[in-house]
Amino acid sequence: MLVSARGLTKTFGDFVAVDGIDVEVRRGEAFGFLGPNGAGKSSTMRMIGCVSPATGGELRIFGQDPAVDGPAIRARLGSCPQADMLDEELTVQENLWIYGRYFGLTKAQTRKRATELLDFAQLTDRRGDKVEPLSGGMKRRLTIARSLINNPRTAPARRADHRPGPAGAAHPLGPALPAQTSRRDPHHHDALHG
Amino acid sequence: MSGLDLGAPASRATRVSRALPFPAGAGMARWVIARNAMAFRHGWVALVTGFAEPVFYLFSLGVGIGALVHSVRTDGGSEVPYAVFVAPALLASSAMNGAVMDSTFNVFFKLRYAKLYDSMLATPLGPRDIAVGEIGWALLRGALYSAAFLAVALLAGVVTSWWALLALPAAVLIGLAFAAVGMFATTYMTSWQHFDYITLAIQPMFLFSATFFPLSTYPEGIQWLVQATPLYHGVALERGLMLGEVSWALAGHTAYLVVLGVIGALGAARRIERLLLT
Repeated sequence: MLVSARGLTKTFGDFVAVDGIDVEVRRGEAFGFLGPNGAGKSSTMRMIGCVSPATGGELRIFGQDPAVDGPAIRARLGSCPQADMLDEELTVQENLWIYGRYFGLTKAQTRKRATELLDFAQLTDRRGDKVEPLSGGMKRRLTIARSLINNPRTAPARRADHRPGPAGAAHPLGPALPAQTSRRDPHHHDALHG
Repeated sequence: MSGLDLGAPASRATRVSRALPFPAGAGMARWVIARNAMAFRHGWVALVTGFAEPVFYLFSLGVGIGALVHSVRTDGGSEVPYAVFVAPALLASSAMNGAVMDSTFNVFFKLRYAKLYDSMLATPLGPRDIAVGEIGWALLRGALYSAAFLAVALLAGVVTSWWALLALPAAVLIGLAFAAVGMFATTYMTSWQHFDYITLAIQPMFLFSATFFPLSTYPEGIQWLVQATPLYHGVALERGLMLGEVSWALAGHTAYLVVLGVIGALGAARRIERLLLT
């Protein structure tokens, strides 16, 4: 069981953003939250990503409680945010290198993984460039690559519609992102698309 | 999972941090510092300007005005050339300026525009790692500038005591106090206009903290006001060390700055938690 929530609630003052939802996501599943604007999808994903404390109910990620083991859970998640939020002061490969260190990987592990991911995201020839001038699709690919730097057990991605557009649809990072990583890597990758 | 060992580096640190009444951190502040060092390599020109400013002041005021003023009677009671009098104050103010620049403008940009902290908090890093890392980076940079300034001051012959060896750690302490409070204040800012308040706080301190003339020149009623401000304590600490006028008063100045730094660092971490982990 990757994610299990019972009566999960999130309130901001009087406003109820998430009103007692029950969810279970198992290994190997690709799970998505659908709903109109303001339905509480992002609030739920933020709680699952351990960057927002639950107001009520029970939430377990990998069987652990985010309120107690937040850093340990985040170490095993690959979070792909709605906005790219790349580090524009750094180069493409430096973005991957430093992100790996945030996860506690060694320098050698990070460099090796970054080289693989740059190749996977077809950004190898841009690795020494600053992030700022990259195209929107390239930035998105780098964001996705960055979210996989720690070889995550689960990759929550917000807003699947922010994937590369029609031109990128044929790209390996298009619709088949999690499957692609699974093929490259015999271990499990479970996608959770919000 | 592959053979990569994940989660383990954070676990012991999180056990410790959970026991403390502080905002969470994973003991990984050094990676925030490493990130800043990495970014800094692309913009090293800033290093030159940070060093040049106090040196320009030293020559313009110390040498230029020093030619007119000749000597000053310090609050410690000794008679010294003006350049010798003003150099420690310039060291203290440049430590303040550097720390404030780093912890306000840079932190504000990262917090509100670059969303850098949001992407850090999606990793095992916690709010305390960010606060400690950013403040630590401001201190490292400040130490670099201060060391360079001290070397120039030594060559210019305005360093008169061996106690000046402690002027560098003292400058780092001044940086700690101002970087911590600066970062704390920045978390309350929502627009660039708010930086006028920073200037409003820093400018008078730079001019009136017994920087360019001794405390005794103020009327008594104003003296207590000057003594309440943090830069006064920084200047008095540096002046005591660089002129060798060492007394227990220096311990008081040190304590003031330490307390300010701790309050600022805790406040900054707490606020980042409130702002980003809601």
